Amino acid sequence: MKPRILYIEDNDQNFYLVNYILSAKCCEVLRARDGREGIDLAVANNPHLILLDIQLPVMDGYETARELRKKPGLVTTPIIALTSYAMAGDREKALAAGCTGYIEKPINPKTFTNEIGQFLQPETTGHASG
Amino acid sequence: MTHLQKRIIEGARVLAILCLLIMACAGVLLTRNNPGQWTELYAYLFIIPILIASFYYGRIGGLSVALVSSLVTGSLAIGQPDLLESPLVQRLLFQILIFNALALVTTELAGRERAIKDRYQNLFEGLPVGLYRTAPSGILLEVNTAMAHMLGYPDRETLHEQDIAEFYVDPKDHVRWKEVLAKNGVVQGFEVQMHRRDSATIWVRETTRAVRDTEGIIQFYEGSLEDITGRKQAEEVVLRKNEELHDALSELETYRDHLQETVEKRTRELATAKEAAESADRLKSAFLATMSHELRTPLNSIIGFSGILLQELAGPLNEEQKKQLTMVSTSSEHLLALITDILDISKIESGQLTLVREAVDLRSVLEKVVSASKPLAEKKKLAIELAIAPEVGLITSDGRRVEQVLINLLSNAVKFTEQGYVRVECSQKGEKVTIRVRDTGIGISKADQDKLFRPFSQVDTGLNRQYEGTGLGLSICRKLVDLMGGIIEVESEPGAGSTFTVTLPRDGSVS
Repeated sequence: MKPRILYIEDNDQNFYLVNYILSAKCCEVLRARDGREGIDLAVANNPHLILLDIQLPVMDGYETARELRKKPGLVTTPIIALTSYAMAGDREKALAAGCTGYIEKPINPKTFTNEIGQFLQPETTGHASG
Repeated sequence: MTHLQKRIIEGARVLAILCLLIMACAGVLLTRNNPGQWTELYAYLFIIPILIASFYYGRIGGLSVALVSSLVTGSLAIGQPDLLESPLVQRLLFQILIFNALALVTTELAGRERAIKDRYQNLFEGLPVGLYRTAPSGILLEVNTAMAHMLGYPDRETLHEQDIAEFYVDPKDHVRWKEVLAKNGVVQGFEVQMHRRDSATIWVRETTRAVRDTEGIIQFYEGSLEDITGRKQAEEVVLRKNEELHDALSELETYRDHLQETVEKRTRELATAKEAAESADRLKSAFLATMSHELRTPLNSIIGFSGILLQELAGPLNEEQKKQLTMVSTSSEHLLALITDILDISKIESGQLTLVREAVDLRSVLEKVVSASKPLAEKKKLAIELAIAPEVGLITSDGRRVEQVLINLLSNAVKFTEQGYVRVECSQKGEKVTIRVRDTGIGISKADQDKLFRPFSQVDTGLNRQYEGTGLGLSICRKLVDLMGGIIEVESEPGAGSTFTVTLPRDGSVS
């Protein structure tokens, strides 16, 4: 089964990069441009993992994470905050909002898929980290 | 009593004595030589001097005259016994007796009156207060010795006939004094300055009343003077002191107001400065967050895509392309390290870096950082040794920050050592753990050791840096170790390697 990953990101280059890496590793990548769209897509597609940018228009990543966690099908879905914020407490804030993990941008293309793979369910891991 | 009156009385006295003597002698001679010519007239002439004498000379005078008259009568009786038989002589003698008795009574009364007069005179003279009587014109008729002395005169007589107005230092005072007297008939406690004879001035307290006759016409002024110079001087001193005190107080108040003003001004300035500092702080934080985000976003693409290309995910590369892309990748990673370090320093300096207090397994942290440094060390054919004393175990600190410091020290050691080894030792003593990172590298001179922990101070670097790095690592290490309540020190000699020692408290939550 191909891992289905939802990436909520407003920046096109960032999305292109991650999409390129993950697609090369046989992942299906869905894109949302803001938090509201992300929640709708997540509810409709039930992804294996959600990558979440923090600096989003309209509704920021923290709030989006809190909203995602309220949806019945998304309580245990891994949500990884992907942010270029590196100030004190950003990691803690992300985890407190319901995120499972925290990856700082810029991402390292060599290790990125491995970092993601750690959060995927065993039945999808093989595809993701291959 | 005026001077003139006194003169008249004095003259009358002398005249009376003369009369007395003449009359007495005449009486005696007439009676002895011409007893037959004794007449009632002589007897009366004889009695008058007795009365006068007794009036003026009191008891002694009266008695002496009575004695003379008795002697005369006695001699008459011896010379002319039959005369005593005569009813006329008998009547005369009786009259003499009566007159004598009367004289005695009068003398007694006069004596008493004199005694009273004397008493009042003594009172007048003896009081230590200046007393005077003036004519309505102000001419002094009578003063006592106290007043004379008060005004600098040797005796009271020298003051007589002088105008009291001339003693007032300020003529207006005298005018005022007269006005009040005319209006109220009395002046009480009038405090005024007067000239003394020696031209000194004194302060006196004057009380005066007008003495009027039955028709209400002023006859005299009577009054008293009290020397209050001492009191006035004391008062002046008190007044002066009061003024000084008042001046001092107002000066003090001025100072106080000024001080208050200064304090308020300073408080306002401080509040403004604080506000400015706080807003600068907020701006700095916002700036840092923004910079962090804005710098990392383009780096994401640079690092990401150069990485992808080098992984040849998009297709194979030739050698030249690989070489150039590697340069892009290395430079962008260096830039990222620089940004991360600068942000770290900024975070520490703006107090935004908060440490976590957690149980840290120092042993596993050390193993992790040593194994992370191994690839580069192996490339340079350096041995990495790790020696952990058996007592070392858990400490309370911030694990990620301890790791950051150790990675920094270890990568420095590997970076600056071309041959030999890098050795990491860890021991525990009391409440402190010590981690030593020893190398056999190029070493650091004494002068450079002082600059070592300052930002951007990679030692011995000209335009071409021989060694990679941001030059910020050690200054971050020192700041982090400080925050964790520890110490970082260096021992080194050029060419003989360096030893960096980090001492941390076992329980970092205490500091």
